[in-house]
Order: sequence, then C-alpha cells, then structure tokens
Amino acid sequence: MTRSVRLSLGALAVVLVLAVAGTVWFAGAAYPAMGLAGIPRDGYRQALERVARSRARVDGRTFVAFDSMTFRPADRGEAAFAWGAARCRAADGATVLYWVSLRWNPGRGQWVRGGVRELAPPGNEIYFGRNVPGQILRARLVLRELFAELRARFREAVLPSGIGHGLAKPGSLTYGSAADYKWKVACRPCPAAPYRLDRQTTVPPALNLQGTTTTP
Amino acid sequence: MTPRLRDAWLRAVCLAGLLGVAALGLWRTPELASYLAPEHLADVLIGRAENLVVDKEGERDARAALEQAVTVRLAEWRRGLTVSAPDSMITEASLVMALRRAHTLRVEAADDLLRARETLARYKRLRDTGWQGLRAGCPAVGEATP
Repeated sequence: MTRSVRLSLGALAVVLVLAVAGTVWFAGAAYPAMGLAGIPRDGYRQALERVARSRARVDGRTFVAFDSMTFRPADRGEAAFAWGAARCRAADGATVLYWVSLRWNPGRGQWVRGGVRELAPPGNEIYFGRNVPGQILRARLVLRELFAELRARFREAVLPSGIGHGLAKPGSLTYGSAADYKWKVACRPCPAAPYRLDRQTTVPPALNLQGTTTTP
Repeated sequence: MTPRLRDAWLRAVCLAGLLGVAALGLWRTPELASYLAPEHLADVLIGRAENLVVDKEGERDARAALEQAVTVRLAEWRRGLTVSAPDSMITEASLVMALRRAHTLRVEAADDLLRARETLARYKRLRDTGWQGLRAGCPAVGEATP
C-alpha cells in the first residue's frame, strides 16, 4: 500500500469518526435542549407546546392542541418531568398524534427533550402481524424509522421553520408528510389517489437539508 | 527492581484489588448495607423505586396515547378518509388488531405501574422498620398483606 493510499484511508477514517461523533453529540446533547432555554420549570406547557409545534412543522403538520398533559415533579430534588399527547392535522386533513416528553434538568436549569415521536405512524410495529412483514422488511422499517428520526432532528435545527431558528408563522410549510415517505418501503408502486395513510410520495425539495423551504 | 521484588509487588497489588472488589460487592449486598450504611441503602433503593414509578407513569400515559392514536386511525379509515395501498399491510383487520394490541399494552403498562408503586411502598416500609426484613436470619417484615 502506497503512502498516499494510507494517508487517504487515514483521512477518511478521521472524517468518519468526526461525523459519527458530531452526529452523536448533536442528537444526544445539543438537540434535546435546543430552543428550550429560558423557559422556567413551571412553564412546562409552553415547553411542550413549543416542542410539538416545531416537530409538527418540519413534518408538514399543523399543531392543534394537547389531548393530555402531565407535569410530574420528582419526589425529591428539583427534577421534574412533563409529557403529553399533541393532536396535529396533516395537510390532507388526517389527524396525527405526537407523543412529547420533557424533563427538567436542574444542572442546566432548563427543560430538555426526552422524546418526540409520532404515534402509530404507517410502518409502525403496532401493525405488524405474525408473519407480515418479513424479518428483512422489519429490519429495514426499523432502520428507516431511526434515520427518519435523525433527519427530523436535523431538519428542526436547520430549516427556518424549525426550533433552532425560532418559530415560523403557522402554515409556512404545507408539503406532504414525512411519514408518507417512511412508508415507501412497504408500499411500492401505488395507483392514483386517494391515499392518505400510506400514500406513495417522494421527499419534496423543501425537506432536503441543503434546499430552501418553499411555500406552495 | 529485582524480579523477586517485582513479583511481590504485583502479588500485593492483585491481592489488594481482589479484596477491594470483594469489599465493594459485600458492601452493596442488602444484608451488610442494612447494617453498615442504612441511609445509603435507603437512597439507592427508594430513589430507584421513585424513578421507576415516574417512568411507569409516563409509559402508562404513552400507551394510552398510542391506543388513542390507533383509535383515531381506525375511525378515519371507517369514515373513508384513509385508503390503503394494494400491497400495504394496513387494512381494517390490521387496524383492529393494532387497536387490540395497543389496549393490551396499556393494560400491561398499568400493571407495571402498580407493581412499581408496590415496590416503592415495600421499600419505604422496610426503611421504616430499620431494614429488618433485609437482614440475614430475620423474618420478612413490611410485606403487603394479601
């Protein structure tokens, strides 16, 4: 192996390690606290709503209201937890529920995300039967869901509608839902509309990280 | 350093390490910790049980929200708002099955929460009785009456 090849491989390895480390840092440390600074411990309603609105916007949904909301202070110490189910509306009129959970970090003195996820999206394991889908497809669906979550976090940070750039005006993004894109694995060529739950769509340009948002 | 001295030094370090590990392990057993560090034992056991209760409360609510989400999906399906793709695994039957599964998960989560609360209550009773029930040779105390 020549010296230049060794150098190239070494540089590639360094880039890969940095990319993985950066992704882990962003998804695990930076994103959970993003956009929640300055909200007091008692302002859990504001924090929950802000998180739900942000995720709904990057997914192309409109936040409606919280179906349920719980504030749970820890039995001892300053820690606290808040969670709730947010009802959102997709562009095609379908109802989508998100689960949002937060925890108060006494060290940072701010709320941080515990998790934000769409409930029962198409392709979710709740729909799996005994033999359908097969093991390979299950693995692909799970992996796709993981990467879709990572992509959604990046979108929240990067897109102007995301929480990383403050909150945009309602309705500034009304493209097709990302959940439809996730479903593409299990839903190969579909005929014409109407498909709502598992419609075959491609990622609109506005969802591209490098692209800019468009208002239809 | 002579080879003999080096061997003796290595043996001493290994022996100290083994003794340290054994002491840490013994110190963490409820039988010894209830004598040596009852306050620490209370912090660990009760703190963990309290965290578990909070986790299970959140899990129960998340399962209830999941059931609600599947209910909404099924209702929209029945109203004709949702149509499945030809090779989709989502049908009315799969939605009904998912609803049944979500209900089961919610009931399980409620059971888990009940168990977590019972665990916390048991640890608190044990703490109030001076950890008698955890000590070797002592009869169990503080258990819930059936």
